[in-house]
Amino acid sequence: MPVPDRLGMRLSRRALVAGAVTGLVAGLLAACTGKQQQRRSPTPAPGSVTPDERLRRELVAAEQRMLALYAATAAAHPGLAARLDPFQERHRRHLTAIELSGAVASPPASTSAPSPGAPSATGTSGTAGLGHGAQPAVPADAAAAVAALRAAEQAAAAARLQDCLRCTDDLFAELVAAVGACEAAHGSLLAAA
Amino acid sequence: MTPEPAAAPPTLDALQAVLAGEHACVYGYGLLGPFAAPGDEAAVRTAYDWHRAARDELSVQVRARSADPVAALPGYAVPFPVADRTAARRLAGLLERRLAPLYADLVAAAANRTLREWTAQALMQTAVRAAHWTADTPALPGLDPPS
Repeated sequence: MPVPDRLGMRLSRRALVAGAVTGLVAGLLAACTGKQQQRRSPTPAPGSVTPDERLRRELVAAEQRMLALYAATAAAHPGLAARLDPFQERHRRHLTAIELSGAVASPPASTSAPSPGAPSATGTSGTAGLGHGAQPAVPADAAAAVAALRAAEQAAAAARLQDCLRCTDDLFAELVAAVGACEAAHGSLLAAA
Repeated sequence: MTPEPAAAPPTLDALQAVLAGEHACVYGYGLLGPFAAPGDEAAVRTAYDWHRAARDELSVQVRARSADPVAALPGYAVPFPVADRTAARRLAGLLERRLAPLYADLVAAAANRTLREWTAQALMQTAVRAAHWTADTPALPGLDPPS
């Protein structure tokens, strides 16, 4: 005899509070709002930068590089543009969510050097990680261009896994893991299409 | 992994919630498996095995916190009939999508680094499988409301 409502897996802490399906959605949204309020720290004391604030800055830069790579790919291969659009849109959402999750450390005075662990050391996609304003290199062949995006997404997902272990704030870690999960899914979607 | 007393209760709650979800997921893949298209059979089998392994690991984690793992139910309500390959894929996608928030909760609630890493990997893998079955992904798997 099937027991109703269990396949819905509505057993998370949030869901226990929320109850019904509509309540589940509302509960998730309420939880997210609460998180952002909780995360948004007041103006940091001058000179003191927390590890989370520094990581947020790195993640903002990583998302901007990824968006630049997508933009360059769509410009070089107009036939791909429509297909890539939802991917870019999701990266824009990552960027917004990261920026809203708390204070972002200001860039250091000299911004030229990417961090040694920057997750973009694979072939042509690697150049996307270099330098602010540098035009990412895009393979002339469309399939190769998609493969380069896929490699960049997979490297980003792997980097987010490590990043989420560096987070001090538990809810920031959850956000970083979710961003990485989307990037891993992107890798799969770019392989399939 | 060593449970930390102060943080153990929320971690335990989140572990039990994911475990309950994995029980449902294992049931669901078992239900849809016979209806999968021939081309989907390998992916269904891989997913089924993955969820069983996750369920077992979660049980170990619950026991490590001196609690009894939540048991599987004898049956689960499925939100639509599954009698063909299209419905089989749709249910697989739904299972993975609904699992994601539970793993996301556990990422936040994980009291130690090893559990957080395992959980974040699980969240990524459930998002990859959801993308495989649905040909789409939310921007923030586990945080975005289910579509």
